[in-house]
Amino acid sequence: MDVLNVDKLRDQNKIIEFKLEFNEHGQLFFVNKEKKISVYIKKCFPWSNKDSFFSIRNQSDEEVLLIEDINALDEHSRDAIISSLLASGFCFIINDIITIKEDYELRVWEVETNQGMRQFQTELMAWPRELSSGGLLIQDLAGDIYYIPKVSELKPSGKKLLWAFID
Amino acid sequence: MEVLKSKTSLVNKYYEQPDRLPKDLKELIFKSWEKQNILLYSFADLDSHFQLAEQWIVVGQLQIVFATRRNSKWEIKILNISEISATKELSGLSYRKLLFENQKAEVIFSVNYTLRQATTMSSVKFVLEQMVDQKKYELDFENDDADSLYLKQLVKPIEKAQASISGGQYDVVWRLLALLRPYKYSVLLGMSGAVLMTLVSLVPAFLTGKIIDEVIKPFQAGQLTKDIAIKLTYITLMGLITVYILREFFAWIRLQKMAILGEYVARDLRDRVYNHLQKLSLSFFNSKQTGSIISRVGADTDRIWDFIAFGVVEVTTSIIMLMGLSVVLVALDWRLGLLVSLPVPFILFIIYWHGQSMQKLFLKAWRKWSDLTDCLSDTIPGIKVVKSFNKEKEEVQRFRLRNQSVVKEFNGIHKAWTRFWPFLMLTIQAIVIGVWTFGMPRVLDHIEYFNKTGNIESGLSPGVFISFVLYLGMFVQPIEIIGQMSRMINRATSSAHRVFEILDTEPQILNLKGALPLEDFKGEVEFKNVNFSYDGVRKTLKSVSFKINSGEMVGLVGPSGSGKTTITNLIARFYDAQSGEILIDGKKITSIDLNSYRSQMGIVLQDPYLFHGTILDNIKYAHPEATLKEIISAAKAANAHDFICNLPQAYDTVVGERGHTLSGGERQRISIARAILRNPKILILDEATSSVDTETEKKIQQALDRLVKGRTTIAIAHRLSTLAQANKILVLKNGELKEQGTSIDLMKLENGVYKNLVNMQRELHANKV
Ligand SMILES: Nc1ncnc2c1ncn2[C@@H]1O[C@H](COP(=O)(O)OP(=O)(O)O)[C@@H](O)[C@H]1O
Ligand SMILES: [Mg+2]
Repeated sequence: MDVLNVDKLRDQNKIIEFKLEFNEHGQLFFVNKEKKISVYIKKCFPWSNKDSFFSIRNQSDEEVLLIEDINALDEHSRDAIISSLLASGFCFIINDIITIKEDYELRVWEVETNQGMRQFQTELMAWPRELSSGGLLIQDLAGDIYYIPKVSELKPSGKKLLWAFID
Repeated sequence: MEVLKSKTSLVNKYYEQPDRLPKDLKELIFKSWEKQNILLYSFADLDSHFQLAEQWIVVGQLQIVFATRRNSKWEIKILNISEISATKELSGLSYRKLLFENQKAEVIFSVNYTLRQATTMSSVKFVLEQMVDQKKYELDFENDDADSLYLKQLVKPIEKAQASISGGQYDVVWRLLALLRPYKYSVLLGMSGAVLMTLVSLVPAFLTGKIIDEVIKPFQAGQLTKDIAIKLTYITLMGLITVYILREFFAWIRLQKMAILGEYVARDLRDRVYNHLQKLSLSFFNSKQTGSIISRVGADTDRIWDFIAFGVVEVTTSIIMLMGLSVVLVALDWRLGLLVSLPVPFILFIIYWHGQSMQKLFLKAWRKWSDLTDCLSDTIPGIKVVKSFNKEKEEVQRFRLRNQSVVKEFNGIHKAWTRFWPFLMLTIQAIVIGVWTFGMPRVLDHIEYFNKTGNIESGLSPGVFISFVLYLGMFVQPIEIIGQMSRMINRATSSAHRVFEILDTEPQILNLKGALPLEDFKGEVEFKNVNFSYDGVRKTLKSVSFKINSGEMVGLVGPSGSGKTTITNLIARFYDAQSGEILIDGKKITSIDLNSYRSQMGIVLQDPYLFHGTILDNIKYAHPEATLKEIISAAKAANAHDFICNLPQAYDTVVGERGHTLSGGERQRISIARAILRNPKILILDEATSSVDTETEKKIQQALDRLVKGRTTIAIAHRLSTLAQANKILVLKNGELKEQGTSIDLMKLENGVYKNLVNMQRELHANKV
């Protein structure tokens, strides 16, 4: 399938006849005159540049559409994308850190997330990843991502616990 | 059972979720289900708005139950599996979504979950896919009920990271100490030595005090004649000499007994671990990195030696020393004694607390250090890229920055401990000052009273005071040792943990009781509906049946990942199949004695492994009693003799790691010579010629042709042309046996898998030329 570049098409004043739809099961669809296919959205730069460049991909993992700026889309499609992004971008947000302990070969984190208390484990050598935005990403053994949007806004006690893990 | 218990406790310890399907839900499900049982289930922890929720998805033979707990009531939804025509999985940043679609490709149901549930959910998806595809699914893994399957899958990420053994930290310490049991007399002796040495160490300070009070002071007061004073001095000196000799004698007993004993314990452990390793099945080695296994046998047992030889004794003697000192001091003078003894626990706590607070510093320094080494392990292997992009300067700069921040952290550590120890010493010296402050006036009282009355019953005598001051100096070392005890125990137990994990792993391939050795072995192999799975869920072989007659050569063909190597693994009994039967000469493979069976087996792998040693050793490995003549003729048959003779040291050339480097084809021919010498009835060739050039392949092929004669041969080959003389070809795809027959038969099949493969290779070949 040809990849459509929305912005380029718009520059060339070509009419783009497609729509994106989002349903209650959290599915995103790409609809044009001929067909309706199930797609999903991937941020190209989820941490470094989260508001631009979205790849819309089909179930065989091929790109259907590359969107640099969602404002180039019609309102309906834009809403669909925003809903889909909200859904696909889910991860736990850490509000406070209660304890960080070491167990055999594991580091055990007890944190307060936006959904209440939660415990997760990382390998001892798996260091959190610092983002240039001042955020911090921690990925646990199972692969779940825990995100601290701004380390500087944590409570002092939490910052103290994180001391060894940030600069 | 033990194993499941430990998995249950892992779930309870680390995951905030039930360790099994809730009982009330189970009852509820069984009320509506007839003639169905629970095949498997999974927890799903996110609702449609990505809020945490308690949801369960339970799979039976005909239906799926989806249950959500709302206000302690179960909300239940039932789906007929027959309505589902496809299952899909979407993945987001940190969650997955499982979708079920009907015939019209409409979503009839979806559920979200975090990656923590991904292992159990993917089993659910996998099983459902099978049921949807085949309209039925029989779980062949009957020894795994749904509960244990759930547990096993759920704790996988933790078990992978953590050495899993049964029991907690204290159990480990007890197990470590239990290693001493065979040497209990030596332990007793060594420990007695240590205890006596400690007690004897208390004597010199006491004698010093005595000399002052009983010799110097009376002599000064004119109560003793010089002769008697000298005589008393000599007696005391004799006492001191005896004490010193005794002390060093006990020290010698302690050091010698414990050091030697520690070596024995470490040796026993290494032997046991290595012995056990050899018994373990391949599945264990697949789940661990080689480096980690090696360090368990080496570095970890060494640390255990250190703990047993010195740690245990040092801690015990330090405790005895502290208690002995306190008792002696209180007995000498209870007021000063308490002044000295009471702060000790406090000081110990400060040392412990300091150690804990240093851990944070060490952690950060460690992180920075691994940043630095990452830099190295990135750029050294990638040096070509660095140079071609002309980035040397940037890399040097990057390294320098990281190097600087490492030093910053290390210096932080140095600042912290250099600040702490003088502070601690000052605390201890404050006690000394306290002793002087409270002690001296009483000593003066004593002397004043003594001078007036000649009586010694008042105040504190100078000798006792001197003993006191001397004893004070002896407090420092045991305090330090006990302060570091927790770190030492932690190190030793985590080493022990890793070692015990190996010992606790049960070998999966066992020689059954009553297994019989082979007699008059013909080499027939038959698979009857064999199902096999490496992980208990994903089937790698699906109902595979075939028969290989004695002396036949069979080719295994199929795309990579189709299960070819797996079939050979089952034939060699590196793994046992979960269901179906594997018959060797018509007998169940599990009823045959493993050693006698494997001695009839020869395996030539794609990347042959040569041990460190001479070529002769490597060939002889298969058959140590072989004569030199037999070895040479095996090498000749393997087309190896000529290149071996061209080496300066011929058969005595050292190969393997650190030895002479041979090319892949040369190593392959040595491994073929090894297989020929073994003279096996069943021969397995797994892509034996895949990694060599055409010229070498020809030579190897010749060698193989000689080797296969008169043996049952299972050959896997990348280039199909090499299987031309096979009696039969088995074609595998996705773990299923799609076609079997001679090459000519298979080429006749319209749209056959084999035919397609052959045509594809021809095209490829044609394009190349
Ligand atoms: N030790 C293992 N543990 C888990 N899965 C394995 C293991 N070895 C092979 N597999 C999987 O089993 C399937 C068949 O592998 P294999 O028999 O090696 O294929 P082939 O030899 O045909 O290339 C593959 O999907 C592979 O990923
Ligand atoms: Mg293979």
